[in-house]
Amino acid sequence: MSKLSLAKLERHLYGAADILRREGMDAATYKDYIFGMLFLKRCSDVFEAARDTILNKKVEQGVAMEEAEAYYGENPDYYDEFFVPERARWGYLQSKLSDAKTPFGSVLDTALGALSEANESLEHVLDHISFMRVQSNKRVVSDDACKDLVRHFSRDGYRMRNEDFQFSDLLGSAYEFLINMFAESAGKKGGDFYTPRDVIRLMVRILKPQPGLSVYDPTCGSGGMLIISREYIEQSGGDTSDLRLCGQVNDASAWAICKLNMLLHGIPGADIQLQDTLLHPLHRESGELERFDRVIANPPFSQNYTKSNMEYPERFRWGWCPTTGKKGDLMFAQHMLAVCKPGGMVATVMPHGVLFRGGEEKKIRAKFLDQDLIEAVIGLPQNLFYGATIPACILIMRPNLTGHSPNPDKPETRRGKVLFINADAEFHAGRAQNYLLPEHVEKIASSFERFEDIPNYARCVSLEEITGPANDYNLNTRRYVDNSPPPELHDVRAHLLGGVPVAEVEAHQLLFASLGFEESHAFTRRKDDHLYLDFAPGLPDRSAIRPLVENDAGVQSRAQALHDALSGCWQEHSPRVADLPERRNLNAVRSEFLSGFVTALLPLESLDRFKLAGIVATWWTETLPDFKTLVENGFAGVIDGWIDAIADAVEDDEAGPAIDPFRHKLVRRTMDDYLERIGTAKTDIARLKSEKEAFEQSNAPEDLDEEELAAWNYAKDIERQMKELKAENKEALKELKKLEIAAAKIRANDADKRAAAAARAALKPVLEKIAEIEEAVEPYEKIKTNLTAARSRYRSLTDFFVAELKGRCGALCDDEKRQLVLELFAQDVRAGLDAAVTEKRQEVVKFLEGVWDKYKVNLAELRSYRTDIEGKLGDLLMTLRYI
Amino acid sequence: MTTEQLFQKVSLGELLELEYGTSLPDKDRTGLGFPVFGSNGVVGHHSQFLVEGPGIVVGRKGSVGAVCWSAERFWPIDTSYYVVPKGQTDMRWLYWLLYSTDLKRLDAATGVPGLNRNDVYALKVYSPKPEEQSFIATKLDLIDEAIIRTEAVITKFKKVRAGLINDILAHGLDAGGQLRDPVAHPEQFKDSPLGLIPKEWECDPIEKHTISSAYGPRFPGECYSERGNVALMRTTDMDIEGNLSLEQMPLAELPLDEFRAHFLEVGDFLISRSGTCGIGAVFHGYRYPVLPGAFLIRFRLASSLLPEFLRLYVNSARGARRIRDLAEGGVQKNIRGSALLTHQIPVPSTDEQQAMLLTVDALREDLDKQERELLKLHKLKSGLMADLLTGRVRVLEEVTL
Repeated sequence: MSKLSLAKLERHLYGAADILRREGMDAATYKDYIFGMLFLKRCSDVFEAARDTILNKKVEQGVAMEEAEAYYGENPDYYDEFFVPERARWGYLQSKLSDAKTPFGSVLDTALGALSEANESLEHVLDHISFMRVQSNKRVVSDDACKDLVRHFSRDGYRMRNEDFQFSDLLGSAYEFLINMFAESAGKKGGDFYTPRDVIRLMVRILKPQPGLSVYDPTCGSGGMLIISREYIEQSGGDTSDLRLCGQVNDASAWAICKLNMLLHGIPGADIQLQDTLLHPLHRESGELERFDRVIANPPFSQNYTKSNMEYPERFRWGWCPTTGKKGDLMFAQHMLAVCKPGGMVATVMPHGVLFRGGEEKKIRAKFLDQDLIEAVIGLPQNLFYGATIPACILIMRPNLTGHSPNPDKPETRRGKVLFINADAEFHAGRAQNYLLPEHVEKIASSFERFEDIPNYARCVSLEEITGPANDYNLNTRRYVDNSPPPELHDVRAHLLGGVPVAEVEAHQLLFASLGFEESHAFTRRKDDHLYLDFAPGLPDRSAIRPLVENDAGVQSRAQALHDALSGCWQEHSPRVADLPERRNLNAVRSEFLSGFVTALLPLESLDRFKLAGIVATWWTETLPDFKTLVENGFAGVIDGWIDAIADAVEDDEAGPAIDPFRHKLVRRTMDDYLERIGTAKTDIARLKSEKEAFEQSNAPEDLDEEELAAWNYAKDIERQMKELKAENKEALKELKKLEIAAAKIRANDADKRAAAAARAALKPVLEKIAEIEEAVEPYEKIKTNLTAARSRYRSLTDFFVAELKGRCGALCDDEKRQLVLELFAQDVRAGLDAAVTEKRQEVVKFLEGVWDKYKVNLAELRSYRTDIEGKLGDLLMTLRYI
Repeated sequence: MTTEQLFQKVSLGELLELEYGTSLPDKDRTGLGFPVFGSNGVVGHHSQFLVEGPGIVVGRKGSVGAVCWSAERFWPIDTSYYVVPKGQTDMRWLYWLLYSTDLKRLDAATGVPGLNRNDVYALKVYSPKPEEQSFIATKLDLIDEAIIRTEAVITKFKKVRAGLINDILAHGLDAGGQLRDPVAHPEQFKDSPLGLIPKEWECDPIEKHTISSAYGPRFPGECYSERGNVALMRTTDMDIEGNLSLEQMPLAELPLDEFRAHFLEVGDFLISRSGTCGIGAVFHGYRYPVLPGAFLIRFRLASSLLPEFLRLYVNSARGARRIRDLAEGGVQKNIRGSALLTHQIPVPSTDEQQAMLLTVDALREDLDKQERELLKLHKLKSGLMADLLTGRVRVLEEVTL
């Protein structure tokens, strides 16, 4: 049986959402039902397997099957995971589908209730899901929809035991997908419980959680920060069993989502509390607040808070923001600092306002700075968060027990300094949202690690400079790191007299050199003029610029050098990928690739460190599902996974194929000839179809209007003519046939023959017309026959496509499989590198086109052109006798 | 030959056919090669073409009746028609004819605008013989060319001006009125917090040259009145160069005494602090008393800093970039008055400021003149089109008669 891939499961869940969308539900409402159904199915599937194991064991030990079922199969004590009572088992639910007596919604509600009753850890988690819920006289989910859901989740190929998944955390990932989907469609509300995963990955990369530490999120929403902290350790090859994950959230629905998230990710030990963190922090140890090694959060932006009944007010030792005026942000930051262990780290998302607002907030900020608590301020692009378009920042802080600067718990070189990273200009613009891509995350994270100045991007600023009168405790990133593009230069003399200023060309020297482009191919030096250049004869017009750059020998050879360096680097490091199934050290391999790639390619001076690292980071993230499969199922598993995905796409699931199966890299590598045959069949079909259409549209009468013309079909018209003709002469034709049969008989006499001939002669015009029509329609029939043949050829090729692919891949030995997968991985890295180089070439072309447009023609020339044309215009007006 | 024979009124359908374009989704376009036309001009490029050039594209859906010319082979997509001329009809003349015809008014559809080609065919137009058509077309092309070349001169001129302002603000003018040269005479320059500046200049916070400054006052919205006694200047009343359109200002009925302290005086410098951030303008007087809006900050400057000079500086590429860095906040950016007061700017002597302004103004005048000429050419074009395409003025008379 093929394993369930993430993409396939995601589409399956999307299909379930469709059932509820048809009921007119929005994401906020239907999400709970999908979560509930998914959870029921998962528990039931896992339970059935555990139950079978227990029963088999008991029967083996000599217990009668009936007895084993009654005493052991139904005894919760024998199960490590959830015990699923009879009424919550999937088979039971299915059996109730045809039961007309009980509403099916109540069957489901009973199942959920029974499940949480039988398992203490599920207390209250499923309470808010009610399939029988009524809103103004109408069931929110109709019984039909409830049944459709169960049928949908019962479909073959979607069993949810661990061994059914391509990698073990697949269910957790699918759940994340659902949460993301709901958050995205929930608009502003979505931001309340969901922080985009790219932002979290960035924060976790900076915090670097380690095995054995505790991680705490005081406003944990759906729990993404905790999940990804754990994932980080896992991918570093670390042991997550003694990691302590704690979260608190103030919204019951988010709390339930978070609890389920933890369960589906296989983290039943996570300590998730439901309460307002500022009022009642619930993670306590013998009356004291518990301290954590890593505190990470994205608190709700700009909210009011209240002081009444507040516990542990000593947390807010740096100051009290006004309770009104939506200034609760720094209260969260203080809480985080207060519960962070000495030597620990805090990372929090904050709105920009806390960086520069005055009043109490300024006083708190001043204390943070005077105590040297702030390590970095990272300005993020705007519109990253659901429902909040305002730009935000990330504050990285470390508590300081001494209470004064320098902070001994900061790394030595960072004491008394704040690193400002202005990353607000680098993002991927989506339709409704902006995103941080792996390359952006990598750049920010590695800038933080390097903790040094990067022009127009990052700057290390001393506390003196921030607290001095010029800046007065203002942390606005733009003050310290200006990343706005320089204004466009205009050389007045060049505009007036022509020529390209040497200075502007020289400013791009590095860009040219990075590609191996020789400046003299575009410009020639003037005699005795060291300030201006001319365009080279190789550039007769503007359109020659792009080919000049792309075909340049230096540019080509530099590209080759990059490829060579990449091959060398791949040779050296790809064995680490091959070792993954054994060593499972994903993050270590990732870092090795990052640094190996940068070390190998940086000396060529084509791309900067961050761009190079970005290429690997992007490739790594895109390939990560494959790596996870590799770790668990080896190279053969990776190929099987690809084949499964291709097979799914060919089958064309209800949500439409997620990928184009015929363009998959595995297919292109192994099925080239087969694809060509499919291609030929496809072009044949297209050609025959257009021939067919052309025939149908031909011979239209001239007097048709537009609408009639569109509806015109020659083939149908002929058919109609034929029918009419035959109907009009039905009797005569019948008679003729009879006479001809009689005349054809051996015993036929002359009279019979004469009668037949006479009848035929009488019908001659009709018969001729029929023959004429038959002749006209003949090519059409031929086209149709050929089209049918081409279609069936295409169908059989596509029908056997997956089988053929499986056959070809199956015939490979293990070594060949490893080779194939590694080659395809390498191909992806090369594609990333090529894209980056192309982007650079584009920059050169853009620059050359820019100076061309600016300086190719000078003002005097333009004015003289204009004078010419004005002369001609004058002549014209004269001719027309206007003047 | 009579005029009637030479110049007949016919329906457009006799002169041309409109053919549907073919869909070509964005993702299928190759990006280089032949232009792809949507309903209102080029939307991309593709390696293949559908129609031999030159040709005409008419907007069918969306930009109804927009008329575009393609000099080369092209691909019209399905939101557009392309023109197939009938008989000897001159393509370029057809272009001018369609261009001058208001096809937009034929918009038939509800919802998404749409153009029915039968409506176009039914339009009656004057159609001269083919040779006269091409003659008219070349004449109209001529004026189009004049407009394009004038625009090219203006664009160029604007670049020259931008370059000059940058040079002047970086190097200043020496006593002889010439630009200082930092390469030939580095000794005339010194280091400052603003980088290299001429030796004679100061680098001062704006505060040092300010007599007073204030935010625009707030008052209740219901005071706005068409018969008001005070005009209110908003950020939208100034363009990006800080030119004021005072006649657009709304009026308000306000107690004069209460607001007198806020009235602008001639020579006051204004800067936008939110919305458009950091654009400077100078008030030169108006027939009503004028109040600065709440998003403006007013500076009354000492005689050592000419308001027009400060405006030139803050609106220049050089100055604007630094002012922008003062802005705080997310979506609604804001510059604080206190940040502006401590903001450092280069301050030449008033004589030099004056000389710099004179140079820049001279260029401004030249530019204005060109722009007026351009406007004139556009009007001339409309007039000529009307005359030539309706046969009011004949082009070929001398030739044929």
